[in-house]
Amino acid sequence: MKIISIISLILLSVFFFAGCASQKPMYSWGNYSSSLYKLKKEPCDENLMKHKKVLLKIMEDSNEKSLRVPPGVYCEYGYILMKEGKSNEALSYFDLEEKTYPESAVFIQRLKSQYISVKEKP
Amino acid sequence: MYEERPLSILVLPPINMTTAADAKEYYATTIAEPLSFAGYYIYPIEVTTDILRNEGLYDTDILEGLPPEKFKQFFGADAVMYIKILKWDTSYYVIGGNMAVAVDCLLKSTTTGRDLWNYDGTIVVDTTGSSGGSGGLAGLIVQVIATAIQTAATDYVPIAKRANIMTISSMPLGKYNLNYDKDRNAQIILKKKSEESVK
Repeated sequence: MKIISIISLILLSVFFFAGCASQKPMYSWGNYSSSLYKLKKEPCDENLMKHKKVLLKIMEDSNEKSLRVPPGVYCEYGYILMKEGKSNEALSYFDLEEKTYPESAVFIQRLKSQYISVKEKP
Repeated sequence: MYEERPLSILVLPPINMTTAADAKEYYATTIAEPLSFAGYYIYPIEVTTDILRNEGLYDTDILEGLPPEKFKQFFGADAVMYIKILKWDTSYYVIGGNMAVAVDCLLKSTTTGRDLWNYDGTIVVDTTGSSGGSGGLAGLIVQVIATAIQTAATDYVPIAKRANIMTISSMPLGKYNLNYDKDRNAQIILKKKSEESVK
């Protein structure tokens, strides 16, 4: 009886996961939601640093496992850099987002133009 | 939904209709992950919310009143997701080892303004990770995932995440998912399988 239930559980999990992903996961999101939540609850430099680290880790892990970096991660990281005044670095991450996900083009162009208009102000 | 094939989804800041002050943040920080696994391009919610705020569009009532086409012009999004959190029952969580989350998720086309997909229901997330009492597809998903995520009682992030996974599981898949377009019959098969397990 126990064996049957174990087998059916295995079959079920195999079936379930076959539905959403084959052998490997699509993306590696790391601790994204936890660190983002902490940052939103308590917006301070320390939590921002932690969230930046998490974003970098996602990119590293994804590249290591040859997965696509999850949507928005390059862009979110670039946006933080932009706010910190590291505009050239920011632009390279915006480009990575657009390269990885061409459907982000309109949005990325808007971000870039916004950055330029901000920069042009005295 | 299968006719329009949206590829990119803009998630608007959720409207929190509960008294739980944190519900909005919990929801907003956990929704991108399951949506991305479903195969869609999800605009970074942190960035888009910031941009909307800069445009004076943070107030969710105003956002709801905007024609969906605006989001296509502004972000290039194929579809826009409106989320209302109707219930976030944490007291139940403490007492019963379950948590009830009720959401209304509406996905609208930015091309035609039509509703593409709608989820409106209460999800009971089993926080003990042992019993599969909720039954059906939802129960199945809880059983599979629950054992993996058992965290401190004060951390709602994994719970919000699970609620989101359960919601999104009824949505057709997008381009980045390997099973894109092969999922038209998947829901039916899944149902069959879970019925078998009951026997």
